[in-house]
Amino acid sequence: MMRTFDLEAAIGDWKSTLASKGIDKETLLELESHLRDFIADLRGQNISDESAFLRASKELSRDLAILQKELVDTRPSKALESATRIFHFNDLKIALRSIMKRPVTNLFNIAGLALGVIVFLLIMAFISTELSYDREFTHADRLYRLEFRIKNQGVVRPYSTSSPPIGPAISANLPEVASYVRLRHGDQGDPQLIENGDKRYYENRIFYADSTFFDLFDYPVIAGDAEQALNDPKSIVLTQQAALKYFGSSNVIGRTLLVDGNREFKVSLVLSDKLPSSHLDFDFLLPMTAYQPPSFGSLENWSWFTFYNYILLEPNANLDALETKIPQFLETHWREGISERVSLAVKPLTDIYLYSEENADKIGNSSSPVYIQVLSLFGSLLFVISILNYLALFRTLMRSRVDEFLVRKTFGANPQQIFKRVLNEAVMQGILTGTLAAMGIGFLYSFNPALLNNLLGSNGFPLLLFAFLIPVVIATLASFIIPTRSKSRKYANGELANEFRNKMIVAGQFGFTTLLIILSVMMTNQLHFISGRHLGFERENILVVSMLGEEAMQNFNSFKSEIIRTGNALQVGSARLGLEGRHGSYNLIPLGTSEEESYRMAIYPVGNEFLETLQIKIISGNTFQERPATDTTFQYIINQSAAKLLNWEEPVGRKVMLNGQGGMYGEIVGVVEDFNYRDLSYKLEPMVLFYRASATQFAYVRMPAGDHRATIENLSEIWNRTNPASPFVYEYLDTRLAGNYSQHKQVLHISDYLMYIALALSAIGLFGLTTHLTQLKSKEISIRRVMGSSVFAAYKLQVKQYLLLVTAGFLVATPLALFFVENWLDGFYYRIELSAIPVLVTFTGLCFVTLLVVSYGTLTTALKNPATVLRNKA
Amino acid sequence: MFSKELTAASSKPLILSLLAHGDNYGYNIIKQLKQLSNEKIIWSDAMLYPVLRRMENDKLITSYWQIEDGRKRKYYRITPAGKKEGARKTEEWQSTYDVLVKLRQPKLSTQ
Repeated sequence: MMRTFDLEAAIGDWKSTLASKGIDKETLLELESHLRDFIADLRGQNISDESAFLRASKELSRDLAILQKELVDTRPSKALESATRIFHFNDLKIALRSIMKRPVTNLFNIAGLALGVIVFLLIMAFISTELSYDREFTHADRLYRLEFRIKNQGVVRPYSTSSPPIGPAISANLPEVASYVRLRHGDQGDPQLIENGDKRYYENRIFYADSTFFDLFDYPVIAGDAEQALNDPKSIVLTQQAALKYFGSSNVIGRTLLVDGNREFKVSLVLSDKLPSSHLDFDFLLPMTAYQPPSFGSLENWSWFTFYNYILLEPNANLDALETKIPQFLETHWREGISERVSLAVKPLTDIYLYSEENADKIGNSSSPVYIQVLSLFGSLLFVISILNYLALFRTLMRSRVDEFLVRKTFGANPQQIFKRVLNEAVMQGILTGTLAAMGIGFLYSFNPALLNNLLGSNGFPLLLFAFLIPVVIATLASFIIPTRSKSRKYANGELANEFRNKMIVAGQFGFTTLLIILSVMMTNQLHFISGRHLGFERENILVVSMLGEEAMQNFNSFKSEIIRTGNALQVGSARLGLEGRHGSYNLIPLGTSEEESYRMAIYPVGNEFLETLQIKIISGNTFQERPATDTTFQYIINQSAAKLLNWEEPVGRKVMLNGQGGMYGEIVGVVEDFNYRDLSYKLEPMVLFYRASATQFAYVRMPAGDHRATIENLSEIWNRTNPASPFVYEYLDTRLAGNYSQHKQVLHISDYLMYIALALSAIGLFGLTTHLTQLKSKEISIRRVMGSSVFAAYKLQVKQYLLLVTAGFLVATPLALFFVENWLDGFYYRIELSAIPVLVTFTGLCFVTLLVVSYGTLTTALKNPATVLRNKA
Repeated sequence: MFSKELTAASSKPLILSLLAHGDNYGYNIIKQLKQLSNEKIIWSDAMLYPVLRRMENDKLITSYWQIEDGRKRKYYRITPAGKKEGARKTEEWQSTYDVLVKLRQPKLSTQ
């Protein structure tokens, strides 16, 4: 078959070849036109199509390289041109290749920085969430809480509560106050039974609130009228979550719920699920008009302070003026002379979450500035260290390539070109680090969205963006800081070593590392310490069963004897309260002394075998004894703090009156070790436990260790037999306590991780730095060897220098760290003492790591034939 | 054929001078210069277009597309700035040439 030449096809092929070399469309058209003219001319000379095409295309392609370079390069503007030069894809590919040549060092570098960035961003997110509490309310800046400060035995105690008549009175009488709202937990703060048909749960996220609640706190609403919501004494406000729980829908206005088994409430308002972050934490609001005070209290009682009073100030009201009027206000409306004992603090709403008073019923969410202090300090230190590490390792990497740069220079590269390579590699590293950091945050997010939602709020997206951009910026800057454009020449000449500056950098980094390690170890120790490693009672294998409601309480004994009889538990005790940190307080008056003497005590009414079940240690005296019903003397057991306060030689046997004169007459029968009925960031109060057979609201069931599933099933079965009317509600004691410490625990976990990350980063940093410096020294070491020094002598010299630097950094950083830690610890009532151990361990650890790295670096050089090393060194 | 340096130095004035006679396209520019120089000026096809592109960037010439014989051709036209530049360049070349001519005389007179 004759082969025919297809000119058009050949031209098409030719065009696509040129196009693939980056020549643009218009130039291509022009070249094609040229080619066709050329071919037409050649045809005129009787040359075949094929030969004409070959000749013409050869002519045109002869200097294709020139053509391509000129045509591709001459088009863009100057600025664009330089930009494309820096970020040319090929350049990045080359940079990536060069990074891959040193995978381990680069991985260290990239991972270290990514870790630092991730930690820093997460901490920033956490802090911004912590600071955002209660700021979303429209009137946040005009809202305050009135809190009692009560003087007792010369000590002023802060409370977060005040008495119920205060809100209405202050709002009516002081012009600065525009409005008020009172909040109170239901029945003594015990969980209340809420029912809708067969949906029956105990709830404790309930507040009674005045109808003005939504004037002060503008919560977003999905159904109902907030203005009217709490006007009717038979109305109830729900969160969407609660509405879904009881009705399976949020469209439930007008539906009824049964509270406490006998009171019906109509749903008047459903709040949106997107509630502003606030210290107030509730699922249900009931009208204050529906509140039934206990026998000893009333809404007119000024000395009954279990209410939270919030006030809204008038716009532009003078807070100082208000505060100066308060003592007179208390004198006028309460009673004369009261302001000597009681004062009223006006606390800004936005301070409540972070600075809540210790003597508070748990109103909801609270935190502590300690967390912010600890985490922001850790976060910034880690960030700084990771950047320093990055710079040090980057130096090392570049330094190790001086030979390569020299060769490039020999082959005609100018300093700018060498700098460009460095810059490209830095940008590439930044991109890799940023990707890793963003992926890390994304991974954490997908791994545990709940935790991160808590941490990030709705700021997830910018966080990822920041995670990517920060490393890119840092890396790019690194290439400018380390081998600057002007220095790239020096670089190429191998003259980077500036002895003194290098030493300062090393000492500085050692110092930073010391600071970070000492701070993180000591702060973490303190947090562990206050999180109650030692609670003073047994918390494992104990189930807390709610026995709420008259019937259940009365059935306690049959429930208990059934459990013991069937062998499902080792011991069962009971108490009025559930050890979640809540307690009442009474004045204790010793009998036989002057009337003036009275001591404020936390009180804990307990039933049978409470102390035994929880294995609370009795120091002196006895536990409670069963006494004849005719004996109306109360039995009291005090804790160590109370014994210390009372300061009696022998407290056991002393007669005292509780709840003031004419209160509960009784005898102290024993003293127990202090036990943590609440978070140890607060001081444990002097406490009186008193025996009351009817204190059976909570049953404490101590089970044998092991798998409790079968036991719990049995308990549930026994419960249903003995208490058919109420739901079986139980919780492990340690879970219950964890509620007290959940915030603590979270921060504790975070700070634990941070400590490990700090240690890891420090090790990476030291590795990078010392490797860098021993590299610089390799020439010196080799020369010393040539001049007759032994391997050991060369090694000793190096190690000595580094240990001196470690010591220098350590000596500067340690006092600084100790000073800071001491100041910080001063803010705690229960605190660890400064000890030398973490300091010494840090020092030893640093020396050890340094020794290891320096040994590696020095010995690899020192053991080599010095001639080999020197031959390769300029 | 001229040396590489001379070709490079002369390309701009030659193109400007040629375009001063009328608009022209790439292939024809090379062809006409070849004829005018008695085949002494032979430019590589690949060299011309970058030069044209640079001159266009420097606003010495402009370009437009025109359809001829059913084919598109890119024509170049000299701008006023190009004319000025061309005159200046020609002046330079003329001076150089004058000096060369004078130098060819056996007796050198500098006054």
